[in-house]
Amino acid sequence: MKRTGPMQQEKDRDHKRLKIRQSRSIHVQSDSLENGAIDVEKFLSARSFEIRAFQDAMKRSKDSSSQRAFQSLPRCLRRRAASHNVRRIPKALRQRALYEMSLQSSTTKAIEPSRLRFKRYVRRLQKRISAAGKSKQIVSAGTLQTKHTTEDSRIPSLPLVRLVKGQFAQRQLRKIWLPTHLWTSKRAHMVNKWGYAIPQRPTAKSYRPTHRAAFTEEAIAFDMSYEPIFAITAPLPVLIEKYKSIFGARWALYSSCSRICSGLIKNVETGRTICPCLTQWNKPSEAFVQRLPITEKNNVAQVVLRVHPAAFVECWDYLSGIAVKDSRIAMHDWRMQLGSIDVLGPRANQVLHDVLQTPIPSTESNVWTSIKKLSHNQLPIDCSLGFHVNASQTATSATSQNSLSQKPMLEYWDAKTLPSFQVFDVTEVNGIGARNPPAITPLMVARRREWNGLTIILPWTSIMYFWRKLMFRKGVRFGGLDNLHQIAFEKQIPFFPHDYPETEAGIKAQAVSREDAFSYWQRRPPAKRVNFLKLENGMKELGDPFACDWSVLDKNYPTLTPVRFHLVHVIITCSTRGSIHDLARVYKLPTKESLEEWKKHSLHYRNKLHEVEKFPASPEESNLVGYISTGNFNLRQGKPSGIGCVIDQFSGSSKRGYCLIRNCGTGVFRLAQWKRF
Amino acid sequence: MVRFKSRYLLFEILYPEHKQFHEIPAVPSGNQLTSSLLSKQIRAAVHENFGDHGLGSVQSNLSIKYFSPRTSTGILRVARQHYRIAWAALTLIHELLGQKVVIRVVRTAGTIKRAEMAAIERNASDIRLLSIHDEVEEI
Repeated sequence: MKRTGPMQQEKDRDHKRLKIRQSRSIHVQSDSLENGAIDVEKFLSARSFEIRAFQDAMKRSKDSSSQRAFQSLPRCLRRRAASHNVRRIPKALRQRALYEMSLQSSTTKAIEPSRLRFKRYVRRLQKRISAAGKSKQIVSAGTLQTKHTTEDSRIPSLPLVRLVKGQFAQRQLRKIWLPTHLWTSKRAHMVNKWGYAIPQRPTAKSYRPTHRAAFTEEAIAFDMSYEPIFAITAPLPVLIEKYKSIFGARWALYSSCSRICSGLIKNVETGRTICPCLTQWNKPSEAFVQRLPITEKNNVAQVVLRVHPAAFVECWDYLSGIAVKDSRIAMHDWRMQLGSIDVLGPRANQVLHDVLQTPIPSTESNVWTSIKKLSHNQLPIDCSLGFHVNASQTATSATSQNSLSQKPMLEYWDAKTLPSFQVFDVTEVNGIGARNPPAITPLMVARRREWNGLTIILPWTSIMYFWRKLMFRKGVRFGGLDNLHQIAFEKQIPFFPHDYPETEAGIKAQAVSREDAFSYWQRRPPAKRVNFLKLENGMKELGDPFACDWSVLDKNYPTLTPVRFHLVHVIITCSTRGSIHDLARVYKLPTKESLEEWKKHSLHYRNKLHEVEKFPASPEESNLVGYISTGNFNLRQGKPSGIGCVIDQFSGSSKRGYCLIRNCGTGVFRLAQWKRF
Repeated sequence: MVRFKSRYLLFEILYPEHKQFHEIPAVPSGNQLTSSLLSKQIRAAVHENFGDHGLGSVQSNLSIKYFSPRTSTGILRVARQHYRIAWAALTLIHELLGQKVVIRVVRTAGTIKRAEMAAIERNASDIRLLSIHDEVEEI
């Protein structure tokens, strides 16, 4: 490079100084002033000029400071090697990144393809191809342990995993990878649960962004393919007769409307909840019904169910226990054929419309395009809609001539006919997109009443295509189990299985989290961890400090043992001060007078924690009535809140009341209010 | 490397003897009040009240980053260690160009951006208040 002479250097320096001065100066209004007379108009105009000048100055100083291409990316798109590896930067910024790298005077040079590497690569490929031909095809990797199966697969046996071919087949022999695994595993901490590899949480810190995406801004999407989808087919009256008490009285009414029914599955004999589930009625086609090994083939209806994997085997065993005795009922396992995506957030509907842009014309897709401008809140509760989308490369977006002026066709859901899950053409579900996603993709969109978003059910192999489109759209985040739990907590609904101690799955989940909490505590040096034997007030922690210890209540209420079958879900908030954390203990107020005492005490905000004498008398151990399974500062409510369970004897018939809260590991009691969920 | 930190004082100049002071406290200053004049006055005030020692500790980093005679608002940059000396000196200035003044520091900030944002907020709320006032009067 030619050295610049002193004249040029001087010019460069001046130019640079000018640039700096320009970027740091703030414009001042300079017209002449009258002799101090104040004119409101002039005052206002002077102020607004000043505002604009300040904003301008801020923008200029930001622009002038040099920012590399990779520094302008949002947190979720930043990669570690982006500064020197152009492939880690989105395509739109690559040119600029290359230019910037060339400006740097670093000595790294681009990797040149070498012939030796290429030869080695070709040799590896050849070995792999020849090995693939010789290796044995894995036909089965085992089955799930279920209680009831029939020979003619009226009630089929459930395969343990989804057999795949290809590079990662060996890793999927003991667990099921979600269809979006290859995308998600690079962006989230994964966990093996319930036979699936599920994202626990994104690697990027996203507690507040999850809250914003779900309640304030755009949308957050979850791959829910780990929730098994299965079906029961039988003549309609048989279905209703046998299963009505399990699913609840409301369920049978949904057989004549185009809506999903979300409720709980209850074990009728014991009266206990098994798990929440989403059900969709369907009328299967004649061809399908003819091929079923059932004895009665008139007026056959079908119920499609989606449940949580923690309770799937329990559900299947219970429902198949009823089906196995009646040869008119068949069951189908579609866990590996159908998957689902949940999109939550205020703009869930708009986001989905942007992704599902090429519907194949039909009444349903007309209804779909007509509701483009609505928010999911404005759709009928529990509504569901099935249509086809053209997912091939050559699909063009739907013609927008009629979509803008179309009135939303909400009356579609008033029709009283057996609803259609038919879009899936159930004869083919078992083979649906076995290797390749179908070009014309059937899918069903539904709105669940408790959640603030939409659920889509699609063929397993199509999910990756639509997931990528969803993630590419601006403003859509993705989440894992922790984020879903957080959203349920902020909406103040219990999250299965963590907040359902009355279910088997709930108890198992609490046992697992107990082990995690205990092992974390154990690994810490004694000086740096909570000593549960010595709390404030000279107390000792009540029960197991790492779990909601229902055995303590079993002792106190011997008539109600096991206590966890006599629980009521509650939402708890502090009256004035205090915070609520997981595993907090809930006590009842000893007497009526103590309520007045506590109210008076809690109104004095300045009562310090250590001024123990000023607190009213602490309740005894026998006053324990429940636990809080999820407690935190609730960003949506703006104050701490908790979801938990108390014994129904305590709540009685009332819907709300007072109680005392003590966080696990502390000795301080706080007055709180409970409300039945 | 020790980071050199400074404080940015957002201040406004009030003229209590102006006839319309009680209606609208902020008055435009005359054309003669330039930032360099103001800067000299502030230095003089520091020297008068805090002597050579005070002036020496503050002087190296004392500068007016922004001053608008129209709105009588300005931003003063001072070293963080001794910003209270500059603040006190501002308060103790009682005369500028023959007029009685009161200099009021509205905001201290660690970056100029924050001071600018504070100024924007004040201006926006002033505009809002005055517009409401105006509308009421029209009715």
